[in-house]
Amino acid sequence: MKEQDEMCHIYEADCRQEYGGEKVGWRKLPMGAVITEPGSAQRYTTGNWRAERAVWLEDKCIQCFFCWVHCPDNAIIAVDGQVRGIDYFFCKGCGICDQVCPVDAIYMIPESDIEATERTEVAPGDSIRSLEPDGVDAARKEGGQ
Amino acid sequence: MRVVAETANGAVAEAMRQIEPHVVAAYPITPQTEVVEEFAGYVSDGRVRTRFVPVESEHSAMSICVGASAAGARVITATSSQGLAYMWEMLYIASGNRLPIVMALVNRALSAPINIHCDHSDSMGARDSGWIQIYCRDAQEVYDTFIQALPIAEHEDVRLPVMVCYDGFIVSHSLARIEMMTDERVRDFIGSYKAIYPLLDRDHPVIYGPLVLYDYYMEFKRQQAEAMNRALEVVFEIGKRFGKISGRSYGLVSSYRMEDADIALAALSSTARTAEVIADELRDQGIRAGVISPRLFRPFPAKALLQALGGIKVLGVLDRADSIGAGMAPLAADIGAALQSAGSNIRLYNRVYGLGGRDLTLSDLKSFFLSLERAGQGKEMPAHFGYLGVRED
Repeated sequence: MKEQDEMCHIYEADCRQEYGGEKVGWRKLPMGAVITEPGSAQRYTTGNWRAERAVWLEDKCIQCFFCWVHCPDNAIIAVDGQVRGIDYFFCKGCGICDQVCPVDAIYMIPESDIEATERTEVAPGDSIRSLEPDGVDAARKEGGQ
Repeated sequence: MRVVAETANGAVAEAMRQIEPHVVAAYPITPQTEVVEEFAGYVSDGRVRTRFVPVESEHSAMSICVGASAAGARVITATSSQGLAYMWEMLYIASGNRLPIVMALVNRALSAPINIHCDHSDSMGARDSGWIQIYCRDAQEVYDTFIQALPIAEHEDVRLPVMVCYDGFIVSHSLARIEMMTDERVRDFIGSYKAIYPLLDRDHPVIYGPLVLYDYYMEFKRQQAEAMNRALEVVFEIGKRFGKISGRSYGLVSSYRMEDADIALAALSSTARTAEVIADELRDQGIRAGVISPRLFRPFPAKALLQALGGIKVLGVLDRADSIGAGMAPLAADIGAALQSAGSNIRLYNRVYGLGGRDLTLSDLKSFFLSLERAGQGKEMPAHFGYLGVRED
């Protein structure tokens, strides 16, 4: 076995950081694609897979939490028992939240309709994190329980 | 040491009792049934502490083996034919996750038409599944190899599953003289098992089976191929180490009277023993004939094979499985590739024989051997590919 320290643990986001932006070769990868760091998916962005974006309207939201329950990617941000928005770092744009929302407080818009400048601002998902980093982390913790 | 009269299936069940793995998950299928039946008896009699899982199918058997092995257990299973076919997708999960599961594969033909007798179409179909494959010529080799399979699979340079293949009925059900080692000696030889990434180690949590796409998948397959290549050396070392404690040493390729041979036959498993009889007979007539039998088939021991072939001119390769439409059956195709890569001038003739348990008669073998002899002298041009013992009318 290779020294564990020499090896990449999640072989995606972290690897690129550790190895100066380069993807690592097979000698540095853990045996059998085993991931040795739990919860590493938190740093794996799936937001850039999105073709359509879910937009949440705070004024219409009745806090029923249907979207939070159904979201397959924990991308509905909830803080202190309140839905607060959508985490575009993870939102893949599947539209399930739009389908289940009973009051049309969520709608989908194509990413291509979003101005490039605006997209840079919010995608690949850091905008909400940067706005409320603590809140998002707290929300993830809550969501995970 | 004990000398016993036992079938290969009984010997595997006994080896499993001596090994006492943590988990065995298996489903009975002819001709493997006795392995599971006898071992289940050891479990119910309290002779082993193994957790035996009587599953409802081979797909589940291999799934449980995968889960138990990932959890950190030493795991053994056994199957044949359709059972192996039913395990198919899980075979790749086992090898891709680098889980050192050991399997007794009692070779039997694949349906259709349905047939319970020996050929190698089951294991040959799984030859690219990333499992190490070792073929045994007789019951003694089965017992010895099954014990060696654990340290091979579990070697930290390898960590790959191993299939120990032997001929259904011909070897699995024939009573043979077998030398067995004491339980202590077997346990000393295999040592205790230490999993590398056990799921049950809660202080070091890990995730098995993540999604790996085009950006990393190929690196993991390359890594797996490297582990398989390293197995060549490991199988050799363990075969030698086994010799020190048992007096029966094993290499990668078995050869018989090859030192000065002009012509040779290559065959896997019990057929190699039959071919030795004919080689002796031809030697009595002044024809320098020999036999080689790759013990290891995956990884393919090309170098050891070329060495064993020495200075022969003509090689006949006997395959107990067809690769329908390929124009050359699996063993011959691999030997041919090894010869070609080495720039060898050895001429190769391939015959498929013994499908569905069809007997390979001594006279069939002899006439093939003799046609190789005539080919070597330029007196005959046999077809490069064909079938032995089939009615062609």
